[in-house]
Amino acid sequence: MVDTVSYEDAQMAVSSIAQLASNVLVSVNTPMLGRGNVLNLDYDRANQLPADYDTDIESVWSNPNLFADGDDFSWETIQNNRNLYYQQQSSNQVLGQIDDTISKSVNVLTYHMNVGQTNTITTGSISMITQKQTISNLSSYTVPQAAGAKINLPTLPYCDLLFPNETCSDTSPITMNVRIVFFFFYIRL
Amino acid sequence: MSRSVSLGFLDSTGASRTLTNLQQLIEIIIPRDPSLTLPAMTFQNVSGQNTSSSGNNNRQFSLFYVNVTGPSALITLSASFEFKSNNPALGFAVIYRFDAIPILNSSMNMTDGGRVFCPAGKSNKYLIILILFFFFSLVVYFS
Repeated sequence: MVDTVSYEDAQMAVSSIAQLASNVLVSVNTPMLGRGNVLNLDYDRANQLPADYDTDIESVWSNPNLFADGDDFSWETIQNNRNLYYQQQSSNQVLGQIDDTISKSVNVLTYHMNVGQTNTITTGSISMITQKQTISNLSSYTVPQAAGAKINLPTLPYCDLLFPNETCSDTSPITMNVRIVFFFFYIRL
Repeated sequence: MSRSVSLGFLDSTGASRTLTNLQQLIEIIIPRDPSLTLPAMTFQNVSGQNTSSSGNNNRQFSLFYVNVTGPSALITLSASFEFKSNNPALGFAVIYRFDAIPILNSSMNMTDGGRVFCPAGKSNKYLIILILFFFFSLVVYFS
């Protein structure tokens, strides 16, 4: 693959994929932050009695306490909160999928990069810097900033630490990936 | 909104590499929200407090009130309280309570938590930051 695809092509593809992932992340966060409306269809689907309601004893529908607001068990409150509950479920799921997508993109990028190259991706919810270096450069190195996140690497025998029991020299290439992701992680108390 | 910072190492084939048994720590500095405006520090004499000082409503603690009503009940909020002691030999007891005034004395403990900070013995940085995370709580009092 590395022989037939140029770094520039890989970079362009990764940049578009990251932009897409970022847009998805922003959109799943929007209703939960109260910054946008939920699509009618989503709302309707969230409040449709599940097909397995009669057989699924663990169904969240059986526990109105999950959706009530304190003592407020009114139908509107339950519907609103049930909708949010499902939004949160999809948000957490999407978060995992995005992480997976970005990891795979970085993987491809690494494969095509040359030593000394730095790739920066800045989107609405993901900032990422990928840099290929030789191992000898890692000691007391300050990784370039991604959205203000600063990482200082101490002086360490990186060859022994990263490639134990393998051949490694000072000129072996190593890729660093700094990622900062803005997300809304929901924990139910 | 939460932010997560991660650092990964990948070898020439794109496979990720693990780093274990580090003799020295890798320093990761997570930036503050750039849109956050921090109020300036104000000087306050807290060592003169006693039970009979009417200026503080006869309480042994200096009270601070922070209203953290968020724009939406779903958004997780955190309050951070930063203070720096002028006298490193002095210890501080910090107590807090949500939605009510905290009271702590020999017979009553009406707080949601507390900590004692002793700047002396630490490095020469006495800046102490107390961060509280809370969900759906409206009001917090610090003492």
